[in-house]
Amino acid sequence: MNKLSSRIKGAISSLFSSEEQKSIIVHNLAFYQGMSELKPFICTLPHGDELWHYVLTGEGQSELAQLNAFVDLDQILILVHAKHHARDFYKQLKRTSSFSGFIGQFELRASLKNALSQVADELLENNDISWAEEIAFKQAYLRVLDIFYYLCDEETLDDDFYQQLVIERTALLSNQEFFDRYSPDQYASSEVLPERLERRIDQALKQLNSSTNTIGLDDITHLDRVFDETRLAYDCSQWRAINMGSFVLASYLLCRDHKHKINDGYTKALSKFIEENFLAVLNKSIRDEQDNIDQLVNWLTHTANGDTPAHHLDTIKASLAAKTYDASDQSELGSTQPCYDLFNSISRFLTLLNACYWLHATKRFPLARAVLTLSIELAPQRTLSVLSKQYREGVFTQAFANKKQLKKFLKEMLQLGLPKSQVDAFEVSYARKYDTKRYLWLMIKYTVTQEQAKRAVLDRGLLSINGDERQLFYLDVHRAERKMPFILLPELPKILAEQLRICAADNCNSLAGAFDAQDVKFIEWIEEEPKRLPKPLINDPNMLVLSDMRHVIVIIEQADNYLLIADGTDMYRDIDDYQWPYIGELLLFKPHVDKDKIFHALNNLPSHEQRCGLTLQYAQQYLAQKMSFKQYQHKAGPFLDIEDYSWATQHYSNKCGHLVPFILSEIDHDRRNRLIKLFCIGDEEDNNSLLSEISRELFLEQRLIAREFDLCDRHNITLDDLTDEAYQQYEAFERQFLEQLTAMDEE
Amino acid sequence: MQDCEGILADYLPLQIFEMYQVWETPGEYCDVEGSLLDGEHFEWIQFSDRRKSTRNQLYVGTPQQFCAITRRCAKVTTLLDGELLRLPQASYCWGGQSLMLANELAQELGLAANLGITQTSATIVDVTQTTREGYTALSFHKRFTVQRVNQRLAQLPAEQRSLICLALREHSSLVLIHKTVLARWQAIGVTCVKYEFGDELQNLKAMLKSNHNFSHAEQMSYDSLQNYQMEKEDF
Repeated sequence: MNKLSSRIKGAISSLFSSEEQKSIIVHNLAFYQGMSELKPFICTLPHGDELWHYVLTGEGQSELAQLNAFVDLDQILILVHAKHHARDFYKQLKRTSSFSGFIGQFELRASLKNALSQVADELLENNDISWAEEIAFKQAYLRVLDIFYYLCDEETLDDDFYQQLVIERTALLSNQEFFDRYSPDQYASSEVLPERLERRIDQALKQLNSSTNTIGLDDITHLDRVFDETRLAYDCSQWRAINMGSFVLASYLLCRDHKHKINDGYTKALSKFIEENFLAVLNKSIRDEQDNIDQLVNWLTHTANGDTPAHHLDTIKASLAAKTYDASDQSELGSTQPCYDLFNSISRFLTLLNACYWLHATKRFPLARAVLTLSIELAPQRTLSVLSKQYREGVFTQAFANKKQLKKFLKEMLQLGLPKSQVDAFEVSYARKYDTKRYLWLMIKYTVTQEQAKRAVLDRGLLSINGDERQLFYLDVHRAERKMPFILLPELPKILAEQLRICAADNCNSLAGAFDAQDVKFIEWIEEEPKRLPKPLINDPNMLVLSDMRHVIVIIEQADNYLLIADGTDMYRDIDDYQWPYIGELLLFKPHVDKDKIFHALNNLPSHEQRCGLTLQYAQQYLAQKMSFKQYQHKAGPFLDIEDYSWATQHYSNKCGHLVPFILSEIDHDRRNRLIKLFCIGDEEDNNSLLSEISRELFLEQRLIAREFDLCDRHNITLDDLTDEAYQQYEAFERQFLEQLTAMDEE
Repeated sequence: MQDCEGILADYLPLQIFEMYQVWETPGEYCDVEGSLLDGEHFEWIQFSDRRKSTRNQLYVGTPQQFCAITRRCAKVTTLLDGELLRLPQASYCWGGQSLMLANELAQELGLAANLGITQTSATIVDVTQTTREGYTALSFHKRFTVQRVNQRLAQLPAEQRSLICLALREHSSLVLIHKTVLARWQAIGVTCVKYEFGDELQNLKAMLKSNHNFSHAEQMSYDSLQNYQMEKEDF
């Protein structure tokens, strides 16, 4: 116990050279609130005064050890002792344990770090103390933990303490020092894996196997923590299941051995484990996501063996591209990136990628190299994203631990064979979210580069990142260098088509759009016999079965019943059966509506695809001033459902391109306003909401052009950040903008 | 335990027979409605916790009054006609971290402080609303690893470590009882704990890796209250 690094030991001996200084420090130490709450707890333990003196000064350790004072602390139950002797500390234990009533010592251990958080703040993160005090306080904290380590039956301190003492900025100990001090010594020479560790390995295997997401830095830190403790933990013969979890763990451990130049019996067993199970795990991870995997596995094994595969990679690519329900889904990814089931966010193949990355590092598994090659070829950005998680912290922040790590990772990725264009694009995408300074630098670099070829490298990579991120990068380029046009302008028709498709009205609404509002009683989704329709349902003799309009139910209300005109709900329903369709969207016409007119409208209703095409055509005509707003509204209105539409990207998939960058970069105000008006065909409330949203953006953009704030601020600023004066200007701007847009109604 | 070296070879699992049902009408076993008493009538909570959603599971020595976790049963009171309801000499407290023992069993135990087991004097208000004296709640505050048992508890004399609570998987534990104590319990006629164990329940290594909960022995059923009182099991 109490093995300190030589640097600290030296510092301490010189620190306590003066008795007076020592006494001052000890006095100060006991003065803090957390420590003063702890004092009665420790002083009332057996040999309590001596233990407290040890905590404050580090003195008397060997005498206490001779009296078994540390070891015998296991006779004390922390919570019970605190309740009787240290009420404030007891309250702190209860507050932080999240359990009501008494809790077992094994549960209390898990919340001990929280219970000692005030002490930790005072002793580890105290900025108001001298350097000498800082050293003494930190050592006192370790001695406080000594007491709790023995109170908790010499069970290794929890991960939280490991993080605090070895990893975080409060770190005081090396990994070895931590285990020397807070892990039972007798295990070091034992040939049996401690049960506690065995349980943790089980837990890690379970987690790696059940992980539906990629492996992150937290997982790696956890693994390091478990496997740093003893070499016995590497014994894969003790693992019960052969699955993705054990495969990934074996890969990671092999990689660690390779890095540390270890090649003992455990390494060999791990290597054998991988060799024996690689193909089976690979097959399963692919088969879970794809049918017809033979071509793919053949390509991988042949490539690994250096043979010529039976099929070219392009053939495999074509066979893997996802068959999606709606062809437009394809455009949700980067402009040129196809969507593969193999790379969906819960695919186990992504977990396998991590394993292959580690195995590739050992240079012993050509199949791992082949899997990585395939992944890079099929989905370079997904590959980068998955592998980068190993270096990124937390679920929420997801930033690299530091810039050096990022740089190292990018370099490694280039060495792995990722094209520079992809690595650069990944960096842009990453920096935009997590490192604004770097993002600005990358953007400026792009704008000042004179060589088109150099820009083209990044342009090529950006085609694979999310559509919205790519748009925003080019918008920022345009903002930074106004002379450069917004280079995505040619893509406007495609994005416009996508956005209009998002707003496409469904069949019922499109059909209702062909009638006056007073003809329609309501449109409602039903899942059982609608209670508000009490009359019986009868079928019209000419009732249409709508095979291409799923879920549509068209009914006219009559004096004594409801007349079913058309039904697209259930092809198997007996049409003579006077039952309500089970589930569908019901369009109920009022009694005065001529049923022949409904039949006519139904027969002439363009299909969904046709309606999307027509709306785009009308929109382009309006933009080109070949149609007035009223004409556009009349023609496109029935086919669009603007309710709930928002310019904000996050409202839809972040992979979808959006119109705001086009609106903000449009110099021709008339054309810009027309682009906005395309979506202002809902009711007043919908229109106002859209206009107010875009006017905010336009105002802030105007301020950016006027250099009232910089590009960094532009990314984060909202109206709340404006001064009162600026806000008044905004209100005036919005009024004027709305007037302009309203005037366009009358064109 | 058969597969253990060191002191654990002198221990067996402490398994208490769990009450399943006491039927009202003999022969009608399939209808739960026909049951007079079940396990919940013999599972104990602190009396003051009976209306609370969060309850204590561990008791630290201050005498406590306990009651069954489920409703009172007036019909049992009528059928008993003044006779005391038989209570098992060993049963579970709610939450599984404490046991309820009759004092004559608890007195056979030697429990050193570092076992982390507290003893709390208990009175029980049974389902007939009769207050019963002479019980002890044993609360297990610690769960030991095998290594810790061999390293630390082995230093204690056997008579001071009658029970040891072992950590199994993440959230489960197993209470072991010293064979000599179990033999004494058997000698004084304690019937609610298990004495005979097959190989499976004496193989600690397998138990440590298993997901199974080993704390309960088989369930007991009685086809009438009278048979329950006379400990005449029906199956």
